[in-house]
Amino acid sequence: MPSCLHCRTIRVAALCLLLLLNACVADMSGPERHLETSAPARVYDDSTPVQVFDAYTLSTFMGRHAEACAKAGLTPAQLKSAEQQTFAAGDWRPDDYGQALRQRLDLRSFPSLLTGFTNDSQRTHLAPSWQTVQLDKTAYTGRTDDLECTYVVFATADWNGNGVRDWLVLHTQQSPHDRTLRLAFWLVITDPQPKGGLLQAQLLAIDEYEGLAARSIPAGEARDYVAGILNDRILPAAGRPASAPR
Amino acid sequence: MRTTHRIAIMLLSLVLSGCAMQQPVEVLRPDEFSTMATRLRTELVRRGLLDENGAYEPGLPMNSHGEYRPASFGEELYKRLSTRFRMPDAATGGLTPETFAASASPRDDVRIGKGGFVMAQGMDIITVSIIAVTDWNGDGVNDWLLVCRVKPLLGNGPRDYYLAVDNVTAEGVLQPKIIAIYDCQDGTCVLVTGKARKDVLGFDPEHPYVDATPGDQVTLPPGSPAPTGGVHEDRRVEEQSLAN
Repeated sequence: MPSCLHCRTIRVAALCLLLLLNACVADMSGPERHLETSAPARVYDDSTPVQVFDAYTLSTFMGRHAEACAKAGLTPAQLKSAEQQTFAAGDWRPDDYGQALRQRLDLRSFPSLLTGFTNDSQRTHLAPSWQTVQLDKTAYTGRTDDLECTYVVFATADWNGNGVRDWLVLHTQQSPHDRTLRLAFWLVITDPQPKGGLLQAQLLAIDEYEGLAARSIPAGEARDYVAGILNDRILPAAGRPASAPR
Repeated sequence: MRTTHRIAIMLLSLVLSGCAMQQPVEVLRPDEFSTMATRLRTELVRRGLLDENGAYEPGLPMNSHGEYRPASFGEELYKRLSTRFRMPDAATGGLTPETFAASASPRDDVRIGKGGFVMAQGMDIITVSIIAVTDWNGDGVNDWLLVCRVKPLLGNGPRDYYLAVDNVTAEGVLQPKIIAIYDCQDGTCVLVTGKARKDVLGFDPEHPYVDATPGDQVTLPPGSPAPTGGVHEDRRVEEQSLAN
């Protein structure tokens, strides 16, 4: 069953990360402990009302991720009933999602081609190499000489069930040097706060469009997939040596 | 470092202490101090932390001077060290997280040790460790020497930031100064100090701010059709319904 394969990949990846982390901490003196990071305070005790900006993309998304959407309360019936709800005072719904993504999205928070064109200090679209092509209420398009990116926030809802509104984003990447390949990333911006830090994205899946062919890469295989594409095609096309560690 | 090695260095430093003004160094991570001493030898000799033979004078714990010392450097650095040396903030503030603790999301894996911490955040593994306690700026008060290593799971790296926190007190955010950056790109590593830090960082470490005001110039790629919708026309978000 494909879903079981998926689980196993994630489990193996998690184990590898755990071993790597243990190796890093092992040489420090004193005992090591795992820290629970603080979760944001709940805004809604029961269900968080859903905001829809692009109904077509949302229905595509719901078709593709039906199980996860049902878990997050994103079903057509629930969407309809959610419309009558009112928004709580502490619920951050900015007027300008495009600008927030441009200024504050951590481009290294998910596996993508951006990892090959960012570094520790240049990890948002505010880095000088980025030019704004389009900036909108719910969308942003930016480009450098080596990469073009678009973002569309198509809905917001409480995806991870912690009572805080998350943003559902369709994000595309394309190299101007290799236009046969287009990548679409289904992202969730988890627990965005109005101030005090970068926006972190969680990857749900990558859609690959190669000419007329299309296929989907689950999140668990995304890192290996991106490393391969970066080293074999995108970095050489941009005149850079392959550098992404496998 | 092997014990015999360390004894040799101690003896050497005892012999030499008579002829050179040397600052005692309390080394908390011998492996990291050794790497730092190799990469930044000239600077450490200039500041009197190493003698001309590369030996240091092991210092005593400085509690006798009433200086602040936390029970766990790891917890202290995680909760209080500013992240602003890594990336610029907006002049109005709020674009980047103030501390590592503030930057952590519930999905990040954070491990705290006595001498530092490790956090797995997105595509990066970030390690912050205390290397040594010594008087770095020569004002008679001890300072902390740190290393922040950012090791990417994808893309260029790793990068080591060598940091000094002057005259540490018990309260507030710890604002480090970047001594040097050891940066690896496309398989080549360089040590960067002084004005050249700006080229690696992409911003001036003495003025770590970026203009984030929405005066964004829209630049169209060559040969592209005009986009629909301007930048600043009606910023309000309109909601629409799936049920219609």
